[in-house]
Amino acid sequence: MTMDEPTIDGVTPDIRMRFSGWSRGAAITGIVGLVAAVAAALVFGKAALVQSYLFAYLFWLGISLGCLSAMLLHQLVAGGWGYMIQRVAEAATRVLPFLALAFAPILLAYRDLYPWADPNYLIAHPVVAEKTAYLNTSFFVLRAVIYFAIFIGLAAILNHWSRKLDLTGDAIYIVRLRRLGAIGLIFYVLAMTFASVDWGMSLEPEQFSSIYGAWFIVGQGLLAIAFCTIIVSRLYRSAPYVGGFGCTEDEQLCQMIPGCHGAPGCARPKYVEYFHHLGNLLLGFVVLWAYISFSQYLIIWSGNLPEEIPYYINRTHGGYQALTVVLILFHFVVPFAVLLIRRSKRSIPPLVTLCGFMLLMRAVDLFWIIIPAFRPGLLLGHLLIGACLLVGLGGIWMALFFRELTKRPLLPVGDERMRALQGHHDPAGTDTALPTEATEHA
Amino acid sequence: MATVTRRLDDISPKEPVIAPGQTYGSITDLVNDVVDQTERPPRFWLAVFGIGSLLLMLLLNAVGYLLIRGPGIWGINIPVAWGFAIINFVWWVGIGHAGTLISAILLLLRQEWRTSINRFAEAMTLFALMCAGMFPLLHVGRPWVVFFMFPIPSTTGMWPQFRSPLMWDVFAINSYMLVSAVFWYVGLLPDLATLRDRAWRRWNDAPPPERKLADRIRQIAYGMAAIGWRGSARHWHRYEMTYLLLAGLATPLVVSVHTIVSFDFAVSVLPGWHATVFPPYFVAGAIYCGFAMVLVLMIPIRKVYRLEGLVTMNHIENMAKVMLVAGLIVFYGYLMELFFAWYSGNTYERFMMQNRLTGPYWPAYWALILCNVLIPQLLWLKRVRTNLVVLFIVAIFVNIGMWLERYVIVVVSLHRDFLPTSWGAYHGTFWDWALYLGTFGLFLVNMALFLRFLPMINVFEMKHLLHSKMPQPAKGEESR
Repeated sequence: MTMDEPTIDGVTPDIRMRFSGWSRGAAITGIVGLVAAVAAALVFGKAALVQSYLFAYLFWLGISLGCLSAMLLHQLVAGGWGYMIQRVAEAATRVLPFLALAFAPILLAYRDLYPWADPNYLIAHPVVAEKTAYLNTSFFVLRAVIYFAIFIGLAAILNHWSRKLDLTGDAIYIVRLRRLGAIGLIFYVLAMTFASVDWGMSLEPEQFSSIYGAWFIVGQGLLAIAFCTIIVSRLYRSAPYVGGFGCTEDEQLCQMIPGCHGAPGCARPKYVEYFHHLGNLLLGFVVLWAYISFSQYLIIWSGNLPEEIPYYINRTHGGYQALTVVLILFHFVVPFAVLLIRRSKRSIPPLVTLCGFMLLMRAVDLFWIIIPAFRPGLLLGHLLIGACLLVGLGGIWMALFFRELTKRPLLPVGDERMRALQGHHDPAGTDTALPTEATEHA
Repeated sequence: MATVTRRLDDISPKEPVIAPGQTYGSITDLVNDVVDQTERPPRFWLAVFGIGSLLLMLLLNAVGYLLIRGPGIWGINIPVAWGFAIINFVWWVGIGHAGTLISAILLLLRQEWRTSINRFAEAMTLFALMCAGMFPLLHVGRPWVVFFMFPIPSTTGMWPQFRSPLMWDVFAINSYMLVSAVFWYVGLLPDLATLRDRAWRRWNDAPPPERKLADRIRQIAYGMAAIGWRGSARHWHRYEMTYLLLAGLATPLVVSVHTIVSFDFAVSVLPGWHATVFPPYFVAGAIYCGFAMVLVLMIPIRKVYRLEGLVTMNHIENMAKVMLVAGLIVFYGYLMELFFAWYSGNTYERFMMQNRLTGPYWPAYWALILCNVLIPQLLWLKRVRTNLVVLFIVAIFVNIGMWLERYVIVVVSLHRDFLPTSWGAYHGTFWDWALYLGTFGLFLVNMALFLRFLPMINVFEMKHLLHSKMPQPAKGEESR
């Protein structure tokens, strides 16, 4: 075995330096953002602050939870793309305890967010009064506790076994992680579905749509893939990647030969392959998002029922129609067209630019989902405070994320499936019976 | 902590995708001997063909009587104006989707285990689509003017209603059928050429009095079907490109077809139909039922034709896993329907769900939960996934469950809608059942003919797979 011994500290000092620099910068940016948001709230009021906070919160929660679900899936399918981003995504899931704490402002100010918390509203809306068995304060809080227990619990087990695998290389942890992947995904999907009803759909308590949970889940997956691709693009030229998935020698040259299957003595730069896979995943999520968004729209539009249709009326009037067009064009049409092109997935700069763009579009989409619920008409105060909070909350999140990222080797060194991928040949070759005699003519 | 590091193979060994000992020659012979008809067809084949023919006659009777008397012979009436015809249509279309999923989507995802089952599954797609297409065609009442569905206003000046998803169905199903057929045929070309050459060699090698006319006919027939395939590098290059493009084309089609089928229901305002979760939930249901059908057909066929070396336990287990995942997505759909019926706060939505659970058709709903949700949970166990008998039974339950699901969606939602004065009941009549069972005849006869005259496994792709599994020369010895 040519592999180095698995070590606890796999991050080289120069990367550690870089990360702590980024972490500090993010923390400072975050604090500036939060202060700016509070200052703006003095002008626009407390309600605007809380409502925008929900939007920014769901964005960053989406990255962590998207990374959680991507890693649960990865443990089931074990593709090369998953190993590229595994440590990045795992670090993002370890920020979940902070996000649980950051949920506190929403609990404290839920009356500014959720109309069902107001008894007068219930009297005026008998349909909503029918739902109080579900939409009531104590059950709302209890459910939030359950959701975070599930999310943090899954992340903790995932990270624990992944760590054990690093240290021991014992395949029993691969089997355990695989089981966790299957069962964890079920828990995640159910928890996230009901969480999206609680935190998003019940902002407009009359509205209901049974695809809503899947809409959020797909959005989170999209966020996670875009985010992880960006972070990995800053790392793939440094220590564990080069020699692992990277090319030992003339890296630049290899990258220019797309069909190269590895010349003698050359470890093919597999990361190009895996960036390509990440790009395909991104394409898949973009299409899935459009599929769900369009299906929901078409069904509600054609039904035109009084409980449902206000949702889309709010989002196609009062300035939001511009955002709607932006979403159709830039959350679907343009990325779809770009990602169909093979070159844009195999060359890292355009792919990373697109990923950054998709993060922005996810923010626009979440803004479009959350904010019109509060009052008709585009709210400039919310836009401003929302942007500040997105940066503010994001800064703190990133600071914690980079701190977590330095704690473990950047590639899961103990996983034999990854080592098989790093080798020249397909891992399937090792566990597939080889033909004994294959000399006959075709 | 164990001191010895365990390897994955020690704990959870993986089955091979090709059994050990297979060679290029053995694959060719194993598959093509069936088609060359060197021996009499097995009893199993005769039984399938015989039963299929009987059912096909039932179909012809059912259709004939329908054309004479009209759809009044069915159980449909107001309020349940959609009955067996739509249920069976959705059921058969769903079965068809597994074939496209295996051949196109798994190709794009580079899943090598698709290779030995894709030809077979695609054939299943085509035959299932034939059965599915009959139902809307007959349900319109006057099939001879079905061209009104196409946008050709030349004589009547009439346009179809483009806002109706039933109209979109016409386009979706037709393009799906077309692309599936082309995809299947293109994939067959190299193998047809092999059959042509084998027939020619047999005819040519035999001394004159023993030359069989059948071989000559076969050579000419397969030769025409192979449209001049010579296996040159240029042919292969174009073939690979075409095949990949068709796979890319088929993938969105398979999703669009069942999405539009779900729109048939969801764009209405009827409780039980108007649900936004319908599109993905219908697509998952289609895959669920389709994979179950592939298993139901594949398990006996691989035994009868001794194909265990090509369709290994690896394939069987993978199909079982896909079935489990699709089943869980379908279950998610049921949960969402249940929860949102209550959460809507709407009287009619809540009544619909209560009626499903406890109304006159409650056995259908609970049987569907048993078949589609409870029994398939057995697939979590590896012991069940690798036990052919149990797996076969589970797959049959899934097929029944998916039919019941459509029955519940169509009949139970329709029979009691907003106005209690217009409530009614529905039951399939003899002719409903005759038509449904009759389509099995069409399906089985087609399947039997396919097994007899075309290679059921993609021979050249299997050889390609075998090549990739051979021991490679040591590093540096070879440039590619």
